[in-house]
Amino acid sequence: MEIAINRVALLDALSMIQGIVERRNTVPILGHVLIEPAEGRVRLSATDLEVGIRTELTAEASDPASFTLAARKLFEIVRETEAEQVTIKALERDWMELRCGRARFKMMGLDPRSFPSLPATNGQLDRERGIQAELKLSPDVLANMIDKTIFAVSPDEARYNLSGVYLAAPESGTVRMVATDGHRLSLVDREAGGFAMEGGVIIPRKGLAELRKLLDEPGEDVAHLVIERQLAWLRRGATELSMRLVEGEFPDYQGVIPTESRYQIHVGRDILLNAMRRAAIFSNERYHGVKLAFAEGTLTVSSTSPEVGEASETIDVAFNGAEFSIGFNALYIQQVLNVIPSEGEAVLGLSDEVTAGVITTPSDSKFRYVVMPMRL
Amino acid sequence: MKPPPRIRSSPGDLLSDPSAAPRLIAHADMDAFYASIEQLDNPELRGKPVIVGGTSMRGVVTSASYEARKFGIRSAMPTVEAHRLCPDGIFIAGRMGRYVEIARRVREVFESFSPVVEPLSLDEAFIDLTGTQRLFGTPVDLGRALKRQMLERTGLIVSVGIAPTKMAAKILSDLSKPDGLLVITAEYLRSFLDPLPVDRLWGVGRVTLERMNRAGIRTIGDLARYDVSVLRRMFGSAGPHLHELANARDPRPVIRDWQRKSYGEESTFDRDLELGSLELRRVFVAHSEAIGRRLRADRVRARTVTVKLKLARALGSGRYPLLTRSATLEKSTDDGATIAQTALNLLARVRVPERVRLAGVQVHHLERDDEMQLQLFDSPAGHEARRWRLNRAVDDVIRKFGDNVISLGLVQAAKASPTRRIK
Repeated sequence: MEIAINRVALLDALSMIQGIVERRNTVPILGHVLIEPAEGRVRLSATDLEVGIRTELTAEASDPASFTLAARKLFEIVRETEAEQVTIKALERDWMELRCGRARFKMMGLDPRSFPSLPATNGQLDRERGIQAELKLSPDVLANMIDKTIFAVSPDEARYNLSGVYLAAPESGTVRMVATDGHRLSLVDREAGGFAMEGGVIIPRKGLAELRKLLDEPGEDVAHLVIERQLAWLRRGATELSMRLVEGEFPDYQGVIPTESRYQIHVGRDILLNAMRRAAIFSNERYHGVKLAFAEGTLTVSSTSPEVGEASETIDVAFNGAEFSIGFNALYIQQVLNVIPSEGEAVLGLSDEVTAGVITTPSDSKFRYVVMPMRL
Repeated sequence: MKPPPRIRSSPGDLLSDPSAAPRLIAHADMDAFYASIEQLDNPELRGKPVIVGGTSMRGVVTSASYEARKFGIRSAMPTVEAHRLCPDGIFIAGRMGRYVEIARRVREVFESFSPVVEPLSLDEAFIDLTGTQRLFGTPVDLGRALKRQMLERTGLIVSVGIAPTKMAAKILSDLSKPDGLLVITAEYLRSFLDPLPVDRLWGVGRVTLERMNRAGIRTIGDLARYDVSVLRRMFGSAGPHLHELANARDPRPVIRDWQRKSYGEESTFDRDLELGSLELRRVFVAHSEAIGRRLRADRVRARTVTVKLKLARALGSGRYPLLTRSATLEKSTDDGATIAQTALNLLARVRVPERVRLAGVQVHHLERDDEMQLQLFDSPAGHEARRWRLNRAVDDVIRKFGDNVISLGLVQAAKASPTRRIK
């Protein structure tokens, strides 16, 4: 068996796969990529059992025998080589030989039959597995929805029901994504013709992050996300990405979104973001607490770190209520400002120092961010 | 001559070794703290025998003014006896909120002399004055300045002992009372300690004293000259320790971030209460609320709640059966209602067909309240944030108007005479 693959195409495919292969290497086969040659093409697959990716490349193959190779090592070889083509040849047992120009590598593969099946269909819609919904959106719109929510997902693996983005249809023809880590919550709605779904599903963060990368790849004008009972998957170009949905109940997010706030304060996004960045320099390293003090016509952003120093900066804002202060984790504010377009405007909906603040932007009326204050 | 026994020391001890750097430690103790505050706030009480903590016949005296002490009244004396000694005395239940407020100012005065202050209770602390002479002058000047500032800033009198060791400083402030200042330098330390009765030493209680007396040890000097190995046989590891103290060797440093391990409130009842009675439940709620307030004031949260019950059945020689039950919460709290609910659940599990003479609530497993991020999803929604807001509002009212103006309906007057234990 011998196959020859274009180096650039192989490098693209392998770099896409790197995000999914298991780094910790507790199960060796999960650190490998499955390579399945066929007529005029080769299929590469990788999985960590939660997320799976499968992609196809054109290739010259002498016969269809499958094999596996360590994904990270293969990626490094292909990245470092300068040849136009990479050829892979089977030696005795599971040993493989790679040739890239004048360089030669010998690598040990694993039994391809031990490669786990991906959490996916074979691109076939299997009605018996229960399609819940099919979301058809422009890749840009879907990517933007992910960008506006994924940063708020909880990094705490133990809070598994918060470890992904909740996807639902609040009404027919609208798709909603919500993410929260228990301290703040990010919600975005978009029109999606014909989209309907009962209840919602939680899409795991890792899978969604890979899906987001895939949306940047060239492909069809419409991204087609299929949601089954336990899986979500998306096919784009020659690549199919699938992921196991997070089991668990997403919290009652609607109950924690304030319906109104006492004050609506408009601030330039860039001015506030820069002030937050500067103030954050002297905030506590663990909690990043920053104080926002409102007075007639001004907002003063400040932080103090005992024995280290303090920072303060005053911004002009249209505020004419009673003076008050509220504390926030600076990162939580910076992250939401980062998804509001530069030169845009942020609207801070605040009531008092212990009530959730709501941040919105005129540039996207369907986006809402709710953030709990910190006690100062 | 045999060299004196050496204390084995680790390198870390070098800093606190008295021979390495002569230390200057003050022990400052407020005179009749609670009673003096009552006299300060109410001029009519001045010059009169005031007894705080003594409205219940079964309680004990927590503080007595010097006018009352002339009648022989002392702290921790049963109220009944105080009444007998001084029937015309003014007995006051006490206002803990006010005392805590003044105590904060007292602490500020202490801290204006040195950053290294180790509080022993609300009104008493060690202050490490080593190296502050350049700022404040001789030890006598220091002591005078401390007393003057205390009077100016709180209107109260503090007695001060200054010595090279903690133990000597404490003994001096005790001896100096009332309104005293005693200073001793290292060279006179031994000759000062030697003639004092041996029970002036920390760790010499009633039982130890009896055994020492039988061995012929009456003064600190007697103990200092006693054979250490015999002392070890008599008192175990405490023997050599006491011998060191008697020889004026007390390397214990003043510890600034002295960490409190628990908060507790308890009270002895005027009459024994039924286990299932509403009154007993009230007491638990009142104690829990008081603990919550103290936790919040100190920015601390607790995870474990213990209830303590002393049963009415006497075991003789002033002892009663003691029951304790503990529960650990899923999440630390500073909310009185949460503590109360836990305490009441524990109480419900106690099934003894007996009456109760004393009830207390204690919390431990403390953690500093630096988790300042509020949560979106409390269960039920927003409950914790609302409690936090409510508690803070109540704390503000109490700080401003005193703790008699606001309380839970259930608690009203349930805490006639809180006795308070500082740990």
